[in-house]
Amino acid sequence: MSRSSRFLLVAALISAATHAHATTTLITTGNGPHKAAAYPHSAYRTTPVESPAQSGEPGAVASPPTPQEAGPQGLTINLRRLDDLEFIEPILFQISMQAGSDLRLSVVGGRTQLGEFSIGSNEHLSGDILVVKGSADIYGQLDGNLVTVDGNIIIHPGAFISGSVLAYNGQVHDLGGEITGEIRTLSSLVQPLTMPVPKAQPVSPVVATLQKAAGLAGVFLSLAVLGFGIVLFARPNLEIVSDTISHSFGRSFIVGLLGQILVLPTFGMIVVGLVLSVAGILLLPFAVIVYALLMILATVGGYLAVAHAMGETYIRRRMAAGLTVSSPNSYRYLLVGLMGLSALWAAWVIFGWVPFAGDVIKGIAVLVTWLLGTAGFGAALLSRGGLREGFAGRILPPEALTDEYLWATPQFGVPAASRPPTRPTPPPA
Amino acid sequence: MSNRHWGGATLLVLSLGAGTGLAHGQTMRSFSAARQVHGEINLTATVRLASGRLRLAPGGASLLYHMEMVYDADRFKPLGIYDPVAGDVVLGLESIGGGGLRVSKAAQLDQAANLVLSPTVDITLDARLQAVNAELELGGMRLVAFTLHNSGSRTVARFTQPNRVGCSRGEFRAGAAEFKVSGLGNSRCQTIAFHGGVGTAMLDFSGSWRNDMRLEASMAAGGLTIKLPRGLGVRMTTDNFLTILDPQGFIKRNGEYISPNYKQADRHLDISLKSSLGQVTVLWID
Repeated sequence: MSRSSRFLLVAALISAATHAHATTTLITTGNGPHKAAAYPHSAYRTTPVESPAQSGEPGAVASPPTPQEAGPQGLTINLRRLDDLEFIEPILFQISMQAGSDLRLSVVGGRTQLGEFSIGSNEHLSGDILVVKGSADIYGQLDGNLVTVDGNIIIHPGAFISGSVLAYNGQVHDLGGEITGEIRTLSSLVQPLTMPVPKAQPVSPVVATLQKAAGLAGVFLSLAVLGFGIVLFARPNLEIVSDTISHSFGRSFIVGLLGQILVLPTFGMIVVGLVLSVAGILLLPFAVIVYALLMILATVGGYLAVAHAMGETYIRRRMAAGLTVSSPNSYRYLLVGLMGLSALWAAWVIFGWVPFAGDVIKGIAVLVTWLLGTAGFGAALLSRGGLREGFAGRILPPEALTDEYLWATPQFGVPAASRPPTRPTPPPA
Repeated sequence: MSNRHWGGATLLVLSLGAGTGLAHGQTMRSFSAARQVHGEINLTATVRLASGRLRLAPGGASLLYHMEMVYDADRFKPLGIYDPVAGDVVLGLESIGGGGLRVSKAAQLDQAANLVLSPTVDITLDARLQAVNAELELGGMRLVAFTLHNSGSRTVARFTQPNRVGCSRGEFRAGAAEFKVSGLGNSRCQTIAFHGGVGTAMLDFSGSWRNDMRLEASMAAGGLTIKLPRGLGVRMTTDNFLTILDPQGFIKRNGEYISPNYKQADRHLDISLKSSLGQVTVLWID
């Protein structure tokens, strides 16, 4: 008798002895190849499994694993509860994860197999079977459920399973057999669509301050670039919105507040109106985009107009006090205003690390930014994006509002002017 | 969002009107459930899906049903419950934690499910879909009754082949969605009911008519188009409010719209139409 034949005989005897006195089967695998640790149901095989001795690996020892009780540390699985995926899936996942290391596993009322498994065409098995790290080829009959972990189930013509099958991380290939129960597959992770966000590492206060400063500088520069673009291409509009803020701040704030409240309802009404008009459905995507752009423009433009108004007020006061200011134009107004708006945030950047005080500064900065942003948004709405001068306090023609005029008459200039009367003056007879 | 980005983000949100979001990991898994035919006569199939894509079609004669799907395991768990005594199966996805189903991010729309049903077993289909892009081939099966409910997104249902048995009632319920059903003449239903919410819907009654039908249509707001094959005798009663309805090729008599060939036609369709705030278009097709 060859060495491999002796191995198969010993394996078959141990298998028979195990089944004679145990309703549960457990396997313990070492660190060797899975096939080497395969539970030796050689009598059930039609597809021979190559043992280490058969494979001719040097130093391989043809000794089957010794069955051990799973104990409290091992896994126990009941394949009768195959319908309960919530119950069975976590156990199958653990089996899949542990199959390469020391695996202690008990199957209630069934048996396990590590590696390839098959039932011959003339064979009839009873009980549930769990195949780990191997495929199951079924040619014969099985009265029970069949589960594979990291392996496929192949049901060949003439095969009969009076139970359900489940391939965990595998496929079921029905080539013409009969399965009276459920045929299921369940995979673990298919595809990570996005990577999980790594947890932020704690940084020192100095680094945190520098990072905040960089963030503030980035926002400042972005707004400055946007503002310069608006000054370059739409200065009259920006000035009208800015004047509206200066002369009708309270009204602008209230309008901005109402505007914030009504943004979404208005959007909903537009959408519903377009849907109701049937033909307007075609315009819906464009309307959504245009509405979003208008809101962004009103918000950004309004905020920049606030900066413009602040800068203009500050510079004119300096000029009125007799100080020389070079290039008192909208670019400078905008830059000075943005610097003023950033001052509170700069204070937070510098003192944000101080307990309590940092939070107070941050809260104030948020509040002030929101107040001014709301006023800017409202001014943009009031002035129709800088097209309407009704609230800008301009009773003098724009050409008269020269710097020379304002310089010479700071106390009687635009800030002192009243808005035009609501009722137009009747034309002379 | 960490503390250090807070200030910059506030200004950005204020100035740009846009929020920032964190990317989350997503665990997509696959699941399939199938059962062979073992002498079953009828099957009540309930399909539940909250988001993603659904394709339904008749399958081979040996399979009672077969559903395969890819789903977001962080938010849903698969359903594949079969009751052999009652002949019921529930397939689809169930939200983890209950409390209803909602689409909280676009990635959930990556979910997909393919379902085939037996063409040899009498099937009662109840599909409850939410934000699902559904393509349903309902012809070629033995549908004895069906209900298709899609709350949102788009549904295209077809009866490319005739239903293999007579159908007592087919019901479509659309929320805010685009809804198209074609080949309803092949459905062999005695009654087709359509209840639309907001959006557009199209009901195409082409196909090989084997019995008279009744259509109960109601539309809350939006557009409904009914396509009728020429030669069909049609009678329509309407109960409309603020609805544009100008059916061509009908004679209005005693408050009803009747096609001139109603008495001579081999097959008839009686329409009961209720609509508010919308437009109903009736087209004759060759």
